[in-house]
Amino acid sequence: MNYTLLTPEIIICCTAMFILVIDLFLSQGAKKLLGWIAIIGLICAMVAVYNSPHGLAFGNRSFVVDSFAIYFKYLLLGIGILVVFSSMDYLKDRTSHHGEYYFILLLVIMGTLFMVSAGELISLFVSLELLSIGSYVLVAYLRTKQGIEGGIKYLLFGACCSAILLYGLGIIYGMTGTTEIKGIGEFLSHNDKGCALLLGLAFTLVGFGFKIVCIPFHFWVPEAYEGAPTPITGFLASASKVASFAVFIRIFIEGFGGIRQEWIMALIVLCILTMAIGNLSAIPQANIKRLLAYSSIGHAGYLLIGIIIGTTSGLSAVMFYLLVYALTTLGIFTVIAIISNKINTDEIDGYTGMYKRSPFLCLCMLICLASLAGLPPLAGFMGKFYLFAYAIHSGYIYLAAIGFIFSTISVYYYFRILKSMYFGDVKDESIIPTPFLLRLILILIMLGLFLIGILPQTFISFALESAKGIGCVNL
Amino acid sequence: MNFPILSWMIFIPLIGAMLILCTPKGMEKTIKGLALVFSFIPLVLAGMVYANFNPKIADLQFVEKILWIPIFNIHYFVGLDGISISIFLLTALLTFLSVLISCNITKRVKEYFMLFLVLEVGMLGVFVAIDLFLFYIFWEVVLIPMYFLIGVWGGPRRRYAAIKFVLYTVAGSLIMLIGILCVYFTSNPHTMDILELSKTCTFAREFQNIMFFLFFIGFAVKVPIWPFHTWLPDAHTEAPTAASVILACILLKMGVYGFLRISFPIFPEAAIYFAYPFAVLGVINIIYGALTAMAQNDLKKMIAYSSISHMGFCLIAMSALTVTGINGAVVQMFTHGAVTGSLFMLVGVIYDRAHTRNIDEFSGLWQKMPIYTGLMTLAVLASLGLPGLAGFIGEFVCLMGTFVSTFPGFKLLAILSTSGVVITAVYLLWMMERVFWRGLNPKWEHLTDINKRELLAIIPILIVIILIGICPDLLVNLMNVSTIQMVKGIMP
Repeated sequence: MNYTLLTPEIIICCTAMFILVIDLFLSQGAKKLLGWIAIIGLICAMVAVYNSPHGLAFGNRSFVVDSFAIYFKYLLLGIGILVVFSSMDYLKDRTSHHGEYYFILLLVIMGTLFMVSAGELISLFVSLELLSIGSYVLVAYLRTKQGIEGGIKYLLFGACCSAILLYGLGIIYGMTGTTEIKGIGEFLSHNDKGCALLLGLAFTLVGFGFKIVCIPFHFWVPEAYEGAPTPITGFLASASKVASFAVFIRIFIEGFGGIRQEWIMALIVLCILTMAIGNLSAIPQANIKRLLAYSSIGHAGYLLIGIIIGTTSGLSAVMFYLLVYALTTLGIFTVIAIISNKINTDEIDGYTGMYKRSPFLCLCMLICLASLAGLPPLAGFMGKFYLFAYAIHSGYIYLAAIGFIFSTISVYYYFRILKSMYFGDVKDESIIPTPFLLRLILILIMLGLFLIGILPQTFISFALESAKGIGCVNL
Repeated sequence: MNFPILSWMIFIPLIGAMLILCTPKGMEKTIKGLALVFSFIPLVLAGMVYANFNPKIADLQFVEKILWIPIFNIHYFVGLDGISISIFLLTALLTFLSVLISCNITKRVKEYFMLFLVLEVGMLGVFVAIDLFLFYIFWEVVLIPMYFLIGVWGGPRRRYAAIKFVLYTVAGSLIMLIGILCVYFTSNPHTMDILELSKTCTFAREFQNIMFFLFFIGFAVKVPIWPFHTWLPDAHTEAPTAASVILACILLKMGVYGFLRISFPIFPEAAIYFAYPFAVLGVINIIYGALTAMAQNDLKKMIAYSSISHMGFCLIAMSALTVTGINGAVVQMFTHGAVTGSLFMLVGVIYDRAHTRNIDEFSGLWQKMPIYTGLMTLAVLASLGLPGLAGFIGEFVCLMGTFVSTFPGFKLLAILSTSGVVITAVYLLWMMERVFWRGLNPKWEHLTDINKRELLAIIPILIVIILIGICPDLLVNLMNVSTIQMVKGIMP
């Protein structure tokens, strides 16, 4: 037993409990303090991750701390901090229940931390549920009509897919006799795979397809993204996706890497469909959150390319892309949250002439959208470059070509937002106030996007080192 | 010289853009002053580059090479040789003059000049980047400023034109990016260095053909080569004056320059293989562009189509793969840039006063605007290739280069292309007749002649046009040695 490996998770758990208790003693005006406590907790957890040794917490692989997990923990905690910052401003006038919000948010973040460390099916499933159940609540947290619709839809889909996933995991355990992902990999390299195992594999794919949001398991996304409080939309689009991809990589590369040929075709088809439908469906959207929901589906498609490549370089490309994507997405959702505080709508038409009302926010939006569209010298370009470079290197030129085609299409709908922000005429010229703190955070995010785009070497080599934590089958 | 003059030239406008970003919105005079200063410094540096450039050296000069992204073996690698120097200097000159001519802008001044300076960074960068990755980055940096320049300050159909421009360019450049990655992973050792790729790497014939094609699409959209040209009339017509100048004079040249710098040296066998289709596309460009220009009623659209026609000369001259031909393409790049730049500026002058560009609506303007008419006549004569002016030099060297090509049949193509010169003369002189001669339309009684600021912006280019026309050696000597080396590399 080595509980020191669990320090970050323990810190977060304690912070969450502490927030719940202290919430009872705070007056309505002092609720902002809760957000600061959450941030301090998250920063402490980050320090703990920095000092964390590698190893197994319980002797078996139910909690693994390796370089792969560490990379994702940094990323997830970073996302957590940004989400809390943007929540503090967003919640102010919308709800009086702040304590529960941060409590659930921290628990969900803890769930994602457990997920990326899970080297075994049961702990994997439990942590996945921790993430899911918390997310259902958070989506419907403000109890708006759309929020509840989104939350219910998410819950129904989520419960269904969890059941399918659990069934799949059960079959896999039945066929291989172990719940450890590495053990499954070893079993498969020595023994013949049975028909039933393929069934389990298919079910697992469905379960994860739901979590990473690929076609055709995406129907909950537009409603949930639209209905959720904007910081939570940002969280779903970044942290939830990041953690799910980490688990996806672990189970499909480490566990099923040996029987790649059995699932690779299915994944390629899913990948192409996801890129196509995600990007094409984004074009007609009138609501910015729905548009970004579909665009995030498209990005999941690009990310799948990295898993299809399956080499250490391919995985590091996925990890690097996730970093870039999460940072950009959080930037955008922070901007959307600030703007919607003032204009109370997420329709793209509401953004008309926004350049006059807040040039700063529009500039941030411009940079983020250009990064998502993959224009140099921003981080998004470097992410795509790295990913597609290794797709071409590994002989998947057609996937890279398809990816590029849909990137071009994505430029159209991203620029549609820019068009209404910058080219439209102004009806209402009132200034949109930006809190000083969020202004600072946005500036940092923008600098980060330029830094990663212009000097990506450090980040790429960190991702590459971390990807070595996953044992790839040499291709 | 150890002073990194090229980097300073590229990034000084960026510093200017940052300063403008930090200037409060109301201080329009300061903003305009900053923009002028920060586009003038690169021009001064360009003068120093010209003074220090040694035309007897075929290789790159002013080289700066720093390892940038080791994992892909990407370098920050810039340098100038004879092929790039002329257009590089022209970029510095025209950006400054464009800033000068757009000082009458009143709408969203701060953003306008900021975007203009960012645009300059991209344009200068493209012409000196010797690393494929760096080249691509600069190539794409141009996109967003241009999108906004067209979309915010443009004419009535500006939004359509802006997004069309972006989509065409992005589609083309992403296809080119696939090409870049394929070349990188096929080269051994993996490298993005254009020099190394063209000197030491020899690729298989089929691979070269496919790659040539991928790069071709990327560059063809920019040149633009028929049938990828449809964005150009829209973008040129809707863009504000200065953006039209930049589009026609610099952005189009990026395509031609791409062929000269990347496609031909790296894929020499493919260049020979595709010489005929390439030349035929060139002839189509020349004749199609000229005929379409003749049918236009909008002055800007006419000049836009005449650009398509003139770029055709670059294409046939390049495809001939002779020293004279390549020289011709580079000279034509420069002269077309200068001539069309002055034409667009002059059209902008009249548009500012009359708020229309319809040829039919004008008549007899010479009575009201004598100086303007004189300058316009000079620019038009240069454009239709009157000996003694720059336009003639470009077209003449191009046609001569095509004519002396060893490929059979190129003589015929050269003869066909000369018809383009005739048609150009027809539509330009016809336009002059309709707009400037004849009796004065009373509607235009109030027009005033060209003012000092506009003169100041236009005169320098006209001087360049005359200077090159009288003394073409000034230009040809700069590039000759580099071209000879390049052609040696392609044609064994």
